[in-house]
Amino acid sequence: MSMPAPTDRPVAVSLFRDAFALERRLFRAERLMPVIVAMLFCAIAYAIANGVAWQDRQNTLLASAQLEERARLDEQLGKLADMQEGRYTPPSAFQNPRSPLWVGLRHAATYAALPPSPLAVSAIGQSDLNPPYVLVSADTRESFALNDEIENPGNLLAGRFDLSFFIVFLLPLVIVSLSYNVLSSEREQGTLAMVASNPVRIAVLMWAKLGYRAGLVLLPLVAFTLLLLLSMGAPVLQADGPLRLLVWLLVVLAYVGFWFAVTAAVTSLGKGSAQNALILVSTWIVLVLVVPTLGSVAVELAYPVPSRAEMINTLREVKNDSAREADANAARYAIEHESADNGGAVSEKDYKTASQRVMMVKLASDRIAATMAVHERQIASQRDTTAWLRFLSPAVLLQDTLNEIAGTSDRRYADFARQVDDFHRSWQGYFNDRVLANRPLDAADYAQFPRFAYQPESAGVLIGRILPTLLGLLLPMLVLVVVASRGVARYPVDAR
Amino acid sequence: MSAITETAAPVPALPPAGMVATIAGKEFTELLRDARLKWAGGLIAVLMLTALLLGWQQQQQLDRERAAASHTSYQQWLGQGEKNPHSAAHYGQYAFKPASPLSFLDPGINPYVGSAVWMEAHKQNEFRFRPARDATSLRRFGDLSINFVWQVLSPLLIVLITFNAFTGERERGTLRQLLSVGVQPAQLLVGKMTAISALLAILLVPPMLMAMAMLFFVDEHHVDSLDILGRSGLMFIGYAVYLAGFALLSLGVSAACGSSRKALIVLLAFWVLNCFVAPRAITDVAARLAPTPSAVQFQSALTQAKKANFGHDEKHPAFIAFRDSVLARYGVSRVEDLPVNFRALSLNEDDERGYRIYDEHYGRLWAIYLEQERIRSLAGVLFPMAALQPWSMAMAGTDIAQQNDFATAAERYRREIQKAMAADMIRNRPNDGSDYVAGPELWASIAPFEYRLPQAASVLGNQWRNLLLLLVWAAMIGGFALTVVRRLRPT
Repeated sequence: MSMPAPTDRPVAVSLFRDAFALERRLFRAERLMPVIVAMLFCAIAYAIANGVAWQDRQNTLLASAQLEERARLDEQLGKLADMQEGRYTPPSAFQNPRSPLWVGLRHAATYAALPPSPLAVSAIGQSDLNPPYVLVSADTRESFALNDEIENPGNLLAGRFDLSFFIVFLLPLVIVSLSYNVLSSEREQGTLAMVASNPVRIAVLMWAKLGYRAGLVLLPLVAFTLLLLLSMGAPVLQADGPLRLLVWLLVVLAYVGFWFAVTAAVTSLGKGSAQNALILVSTWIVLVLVVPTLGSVAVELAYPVPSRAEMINTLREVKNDSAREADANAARYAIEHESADNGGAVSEKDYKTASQRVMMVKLASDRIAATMAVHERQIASQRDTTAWLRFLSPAVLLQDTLNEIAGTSDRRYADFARQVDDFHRSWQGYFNDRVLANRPLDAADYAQFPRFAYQPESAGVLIGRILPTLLGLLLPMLVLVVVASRGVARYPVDAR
Repeated sequence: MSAITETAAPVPALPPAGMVATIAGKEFTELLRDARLKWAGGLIAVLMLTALLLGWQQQQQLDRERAAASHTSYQQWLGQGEKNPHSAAHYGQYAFKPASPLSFLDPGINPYVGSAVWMEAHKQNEFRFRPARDATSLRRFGDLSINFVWQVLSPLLIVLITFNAFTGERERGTLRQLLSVGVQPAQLLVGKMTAISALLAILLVPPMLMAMAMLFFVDEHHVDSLDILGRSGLMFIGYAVYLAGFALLSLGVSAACGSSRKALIVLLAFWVLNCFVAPRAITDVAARLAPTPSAVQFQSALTQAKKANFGHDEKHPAFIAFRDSVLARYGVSRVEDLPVNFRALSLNEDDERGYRIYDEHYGRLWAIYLEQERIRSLAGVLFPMAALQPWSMAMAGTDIAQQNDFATAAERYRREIQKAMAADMIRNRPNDGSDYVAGPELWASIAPFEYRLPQAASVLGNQWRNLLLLLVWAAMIGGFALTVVRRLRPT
């Protein structure tokens, strides 16, 4: 220990610095630093590599969807050109590239895609449950709105080892394992009494030890995350990427701070090392496992989503009734199975059946929307309640926020679904109008088909939503720091 | 070491039953008095009871909903009125997977797998409506079900009450006393293990028996009640091996470590790796080694393959070839002269060719899933949860193999509808192009879709490997514990 300086404040500062330096020497002596740094590096590298691989898969998926759509359109355009040259006579209305009904329903059905956010690699979030694209057609909404991506359900159950999993679940345990015994081990070894005989407050010693460990966790965490994100080709610098990254760092910092504050508060209780470890692990279990699980049960009990099985049958009834009303049932069969002798244009008979089909879709659409809205309202209520419940557990709060930053949150998928619904209506309008007006499509129309472009929310709105999160992490942290500061003043020095 | 010294060395005698019983009794009393156990055990008991009742209620509700929906779907099929049979096949039916009666013990993949499939003409569809999409991201932290308590919380309880089993004796100086009065370390191990096992049995056997009793109230329409009892028994054997292994590990580590603190940290680290890190980390490895195709890739591969089929295209070379072969078979030169309906015959032929394509493509997809599961469970040699989880899900009937079994049954039923509708048209539809309609008696000739859970024996055929992995792990841990305990020193 260095000589005490003349004034009180510098004394604390220099003592803090001394304790900090001592701690570094201890870690160096135990050769712990390289182990911890290497462990952090491996975990972060593995997590980011998984995120990048997942994002590559998502991008490939989007690209292959676009390719598939392009090929389908080209086939129709080819047929259209052949028809004009007299080389192709459609054997049925279904195979007629000029039929606004079948082009809008099937041949030109278009993928509405949700582009990945620049930080998508950081949290797989809900992106494994919600496909990044939806195949929109002029058919009724239920035909596409709830489609799933193919995935082994076992993989969905297990979840993925991504960066947000590492930070939300594992980082607190790294912090706990580094600092559960900061004062207790000194006391157990009898060295605390020796230290306390010097003019040093135990509070300074505790904060210096925790501060050193915080640095040991945070510096490699931030450095490796930035380095690996950039070197593994994640597009973090594109668009509002840097801003998202900054917010990401802030919330992660606050989360790390929260867990160190928990450790400090537990340390200040003056219990033994093993007991500290038990209390800290129990806290982890409560915040990371019990609160979210019970919260999930509570939310689902409060807002149960009605049976999907029943919904399926209701929708079939709705479609049956609408079809009967539009007398299109027989017509649909005729369209698919009888050939039309139209020689290129849409025949009278095809027009009749096509318009009946459109009438059916129009009649059914509102009823289907109303049926599905019941489910969606419940899910929205669950989401809104979760937005409050998450403040009960910093782990849930952080998980949710990291998903938001990565653009893989429930909220973003709901927003995407809303935009797709608007687009679906305009798509239906475009084709249905042409069916009812009996206007066959030509090449110029093909170029005019409605196109979907996702309107992302501005970074400002996103940040505005994340600010409460930051408060939700910092406030409990401050409370815990106060508790710890008061408690540690009464810390028992005697070896037990 | 020579044979002589080996025989000369005092071979530790088999632990006399009396000594072991004394140790076990003392340990048991001590554990019962432990405040840690009162709190943690009480919490676990409450959680188990909640999970059991909640799970049962959800399972019953789901089963009722799905049974009602299956009934409605069949009624819709019957109420189609008069129409062309192929048109009726297009309308089809929905199959809803019945909730397995054991799913309240382990819901497994249920939240993440589609619950319904449309059985329509020409197409084998994917299952839709994953329950997890009707929930929030909170669900991803885990489900409150009894398997979670058994797989994750019970091992933690074991760790918490046993981490200082040996280190504590050493720290208090009682180990020296015990060894000085001639207690064999192996006797200590067996005694402590007996006490912990008894305690766990008190905590865990009642809910297991309660679960088995609940199984008697299961609606028996799609299960064999003796069989599900057998399944639950097999499931509990898996948990017993898993938890016994954890207890041995905990005792072994406690004997090997210099301090209680170190033992606790090592055990907690293993618990975290086993329950949280390994399942995810291995999932990523499995997904890399056996990648799942995307829906677009899968569908376009199917579309591509189906181009070889003629569908409704009468200019397709395959169609012409088929028509010629039929004409030749009946010895006529014109379709109109055939004694059977040719369009129906061609539909049937197209379907038959489609079945082969679907079998091949779905077979390949499901093989990828099973390969991923296999890779995942291999980690069970080190991290037993990787072997226990699939075992538990399989016995509960909520794993991927039994989902595929249901999908296969639904597809078989779909094909029955196709065949029956085509056969009716082949017999009755005239060849002159005039339309033909059938009525409710044809729809009623298709019996309602019934699904029965596979027998436990057939599940065992796929699952014995996981139980073996668990046993190998537990045996390894037993060996480890015995070895370190034999080297036990009082200081």
